[in-house]
Amino acid sequence: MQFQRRTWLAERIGWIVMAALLVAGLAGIFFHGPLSRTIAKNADESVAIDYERFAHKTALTHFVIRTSAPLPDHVLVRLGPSFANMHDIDSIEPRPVRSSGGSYGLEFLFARSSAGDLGVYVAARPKRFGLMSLHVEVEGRGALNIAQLVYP
Amino acid sequence: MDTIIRSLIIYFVLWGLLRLSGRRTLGKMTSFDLVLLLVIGGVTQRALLGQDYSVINALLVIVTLILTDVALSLLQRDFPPLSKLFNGEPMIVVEEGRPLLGRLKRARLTAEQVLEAARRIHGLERMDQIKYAILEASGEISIIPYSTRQVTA
Repeated sequence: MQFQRRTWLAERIGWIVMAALLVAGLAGIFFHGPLSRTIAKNADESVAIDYERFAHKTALTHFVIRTSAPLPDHVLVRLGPSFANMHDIDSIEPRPVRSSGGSYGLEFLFARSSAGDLGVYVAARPKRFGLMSLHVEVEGRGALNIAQLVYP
Repeated sequence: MDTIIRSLIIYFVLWGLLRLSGRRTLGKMTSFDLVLLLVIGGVTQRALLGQDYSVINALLVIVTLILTDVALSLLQRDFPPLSKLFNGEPMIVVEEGRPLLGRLKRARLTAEQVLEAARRIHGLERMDQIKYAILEASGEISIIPYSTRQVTA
């Protein structure tokens, strides 16, 4: 009977752990959710990246890179080498005027919007798991380093 | 977050559909029923996981489904009317050797199936040897012969 009591105790502890996981999941500790979504800004707040702190390996995660007006006609956005190493880029909106890749990572040239600002939507799938440090730069405006934890 | 919400929706939709399909689906499963369940499982899997094949997503789906099941079993223990809603209740289909044809028909059972259950487990040959046959909430048929022993088919 003592063994059975221990089993029941273990069961109840298991339920509590599962409930805690569920609450954490609803809060966004594992992916989509209020605790996951965040906005990183550079010092003068001219560049902001809206992204998720937590992502899943192989599941789509979105980054929105915003740069405020006024901007020149064309704006160069650089995603550091770690971005391409860690993610498969699924789509980029708007379509860049020109794109290239090299030792500095990936470069995209975008036309600014009619309002004079720019918002770039990147959908990507992490191909590795672990803590990732990503570097994003908008030429002439500044750079940002963001961290993302990718679950296996 | 959406994984958990999706899992909860699928859990209750599946529960509702299986409950509506009637007790016999669970109790007397034919090979075709099994194939049907496998197909339902395959379709459900896609809805549950979407395009996220990560380990953590699978873990969240499993935890959500198991915990919902545990929570509902606790609720049913504390609120018996809920148990009736979730599982249904047992129903007598043969009384004192007399098949209650109206009930058998609505439960999509035949007197022959009750006799089969009586034969298989209890070795009974005729309806008049059965004191009570009960269609249990689980979909099984329990046979009580004209002795005190109860056997479940």
